[in-house]
Amino acid sequence: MTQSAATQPDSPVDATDGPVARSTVVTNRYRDSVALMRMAAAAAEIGGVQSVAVVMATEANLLDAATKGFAVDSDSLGVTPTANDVFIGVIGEDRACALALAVVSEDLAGSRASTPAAGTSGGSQTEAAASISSAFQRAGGSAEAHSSLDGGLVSVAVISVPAAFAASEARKALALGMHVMLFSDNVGLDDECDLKQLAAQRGLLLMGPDCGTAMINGVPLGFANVVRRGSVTVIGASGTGMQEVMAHLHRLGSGVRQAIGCGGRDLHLRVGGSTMIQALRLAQADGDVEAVVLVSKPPDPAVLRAVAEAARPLIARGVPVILSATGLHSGDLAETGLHVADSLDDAARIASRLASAAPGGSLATTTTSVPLTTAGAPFVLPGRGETSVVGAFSGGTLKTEFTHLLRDLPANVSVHAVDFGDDEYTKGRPHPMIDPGVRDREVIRAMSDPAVAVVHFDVVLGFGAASDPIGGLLSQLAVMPASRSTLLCAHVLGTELDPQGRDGIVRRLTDAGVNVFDTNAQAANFIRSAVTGPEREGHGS
Amino acid sequence: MMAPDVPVVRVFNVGVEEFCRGPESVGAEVHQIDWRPPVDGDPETSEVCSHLLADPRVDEANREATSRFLAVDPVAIDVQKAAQAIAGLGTGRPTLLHAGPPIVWESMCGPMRGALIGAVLFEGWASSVDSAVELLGNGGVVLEPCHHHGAVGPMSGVISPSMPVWVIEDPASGRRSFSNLNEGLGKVLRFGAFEPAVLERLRWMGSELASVLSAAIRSLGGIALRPVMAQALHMGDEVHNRNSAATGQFLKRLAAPIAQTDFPGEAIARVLQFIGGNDHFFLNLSMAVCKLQLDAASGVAHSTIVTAMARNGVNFGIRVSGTGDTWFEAPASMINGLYFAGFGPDDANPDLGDSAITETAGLGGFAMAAAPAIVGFVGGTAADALAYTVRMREICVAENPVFTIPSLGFRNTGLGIDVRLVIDTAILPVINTGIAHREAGIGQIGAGITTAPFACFAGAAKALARVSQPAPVT
Repeated sequence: MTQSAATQPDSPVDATDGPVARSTVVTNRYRDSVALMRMAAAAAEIGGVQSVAVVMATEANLLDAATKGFAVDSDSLGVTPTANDVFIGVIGEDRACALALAVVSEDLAGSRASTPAAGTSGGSQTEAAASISSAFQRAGGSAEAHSSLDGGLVSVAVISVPAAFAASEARKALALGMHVMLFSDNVGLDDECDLKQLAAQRGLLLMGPDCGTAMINGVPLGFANVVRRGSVTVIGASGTGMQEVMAHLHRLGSGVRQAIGCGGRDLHLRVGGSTMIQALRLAQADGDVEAVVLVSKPPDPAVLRAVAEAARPLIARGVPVILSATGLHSGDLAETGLHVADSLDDAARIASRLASAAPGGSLATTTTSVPLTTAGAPFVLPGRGETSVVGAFSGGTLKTEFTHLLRDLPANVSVHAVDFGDDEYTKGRPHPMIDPGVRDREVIRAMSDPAVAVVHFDVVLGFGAASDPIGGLLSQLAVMPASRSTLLCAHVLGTELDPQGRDGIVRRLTDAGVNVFDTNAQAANFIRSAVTGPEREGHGS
Repeated sequence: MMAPDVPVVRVFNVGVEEFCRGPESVGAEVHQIDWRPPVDGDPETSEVCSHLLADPRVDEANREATSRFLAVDPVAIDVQKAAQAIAGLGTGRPTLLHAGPPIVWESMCGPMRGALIGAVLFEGWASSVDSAVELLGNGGVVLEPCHHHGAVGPMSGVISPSMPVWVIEDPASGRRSFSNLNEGLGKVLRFGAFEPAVLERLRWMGSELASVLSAAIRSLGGIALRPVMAQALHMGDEVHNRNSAATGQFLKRLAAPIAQTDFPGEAIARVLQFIGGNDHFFLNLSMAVCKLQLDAASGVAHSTIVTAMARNGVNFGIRVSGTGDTWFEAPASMINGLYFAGFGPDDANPDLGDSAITETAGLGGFAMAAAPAIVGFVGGTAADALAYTVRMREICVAENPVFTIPSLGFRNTGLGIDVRLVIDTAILPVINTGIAHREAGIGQIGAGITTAPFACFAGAAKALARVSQPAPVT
């Protein structure tokens, strides 16, 4: 007779075992928010862990953590945390929590203390510099401003620190004679004006605030796709709009001479297009520029005049300047000599044609493919009742262009487009191009919503973007029943040279029943024709 | 198709490390900055600092301040009674000078109170400890910082009218600085001891010692002090916590002149024995040299150079050239170090003394590589001493070609601590110092390393930003 050994678990099993909240504080550490979120995401993968928070222990962050159920009281933590400490909170099974805390603590142990404690090692020169000034000294210094991008050593500071400190860092960089790419958003208008005035005084570029993309002398900065170097300079008030134009130029066999981001508010009346005008002056001094594309929202007429004035010398020497500003009427540009493009693709096409690049590619804005739902059924718009087209975007310009191209749909079809890269969605959360989680949730929600006929999203590739921007979404789609009624579309923005592997991304999306497009306009036109019937003439062909 | 002169792009990445990948992929030179908020986490601190860094008048002012510093030639010309040398002590009202920024009797630490009691008794303003305390408590004695009178004193730094002081002069400008004479170790006034033996020693110092030294120095026409310090830095001193080589070199210059004075052999022997037996005898001279140079650099409009760092055992204060005599204060830190047998951290007084004037001038803790043994107090190695010295260089705007450090390849010492750089790099000035017992009269109980409080520099930056009108737009 075998004895059935009653297996004793290592720890007593509580019949009402529920998740517990465990926390700890790592003092005197600072890491940027993206790094902290990555640590949290990795720890959340541990079996038995429900949720993880890894944040700088500011009052606001701790309050937020408390509302989410994390243990933030001093007794649990054993210390009163300060803004110079990192708070790690875990909710889940007890053991899993302990493991998660240990994993994250160890990850943090790699970094140097934020303030050198008296008596600790003086620190070696091989550690990363703690400030731009130090780094500049160590790199050999030279306070000479090389304002021309063609001259010798061009220094660019890429700044993505929290908003409260961003303007100060930018000012320091300008003082050292560096051009600045200010990625940080939520920087005030007064600071922007002050910084751009300082930059203009010294002949430097202040790209931003909220500048996501740039390419200086072939060096990609921020979110940037891998594109050929060429003769078209792209100057944009927006990130994804510039990325779209740059990717299209590459696809057309053309290339990018410089890509200069101006920030989302450069064309505000008080800022006056300062950076765009500065960039136009640099293009004027650049003998290798053969076309210039400007990407923005329709600017104030006074600012538009100033920009057009700055473009005049370029046009005079035979360099076409093409403006893509969704919603702009060509009448607004009469006598400026600027070309007006109907869309981002259009701008790229015009620039490529007018520059002396060998035509090597094409850019279709429409497609003849039949709209199919994820179940493979032919898409049919519901005959009656209210329905909608939902668009989930990583950038404002793509969203604006999309909405504009879908502006005259049948009365019962509304368009709801959201830019998940907007400040509203990125406070305390990474940008959707880095972490598409919030965007994914919206797509899944819309796919399950019977009042939604079409769902569209963009997938932006390139440096800075997630290495697998669609894995999470595809795994969520896989557990849903395939839809026979909803049309799912995606626009993959990128080139074949981008690190994520564009072809693989397109194939995986297509296999999941997604209608995939190369351009934003192509996707919008496809959706318009699917919703309205036969293709309409006269738009972007 | 690249032009032959390919422009080189250097990227300085401040923030999300991921943004290095793009530039790295094309082989661009990339520098990741290990950014963190300022030490006090206050965006205003960063903002004012960035304005000061962007203001071209500041760099020009700092150049002016450092050149005024280097132009000073500090010569020890005499030893005189404090009342004779220092104007503020020659008035009718009982006045005593002390170390650090201004502070009232009620707030003072134990050692400083003890030293003041001793000074009151020494001057004969009271005949008992109790009546001395009463006199000090009811405002019967004017108490002012040494710094306000061109003077500096180590530890409690108490200088009274009858005490002898070194007189240091810059011949070209006639500018002067002063310090008291070092009593030695053990039960001494500067650690708050006031028993009869202490006062007796002070009387001897003020009479015999002072007379002999004065005669010897005057017979030489003065002693230039920078060469003594420069030599000492090559011999294992950093002239704050390590002064034995400097003391020896100084004594070498004085021995024959002392012997040639008209004083009796026994007096001369006492003097030589006193100096020879005190490894820190030169400290007060070192401090007065630094004080003279930094005072010359003070008052340059827009300059962000620190001209004084001083502690009164309760508060740490700094002064900055562009804001003149204004003190920017924060609570004094505790010192991280080793204790003599029988003592520990609970016995320690917070940071005390004007001797941080040496660090302010780029010596002491800023020249730790010249005296590596000091870092042993905090469990460090000789390599750490070098690292500290190199690190402090990052917060200095200039170099001092007069003082070089052999172990760093005879590299110049740093000169001109810049408030902006302290804030921007979060590198706090490091100070080598002795640890006093927090009760009066017990004496030194250890030694170690501490740092200047960040709040002083943040306060100074905000004040500098306020006094600077925005630079005109050109």
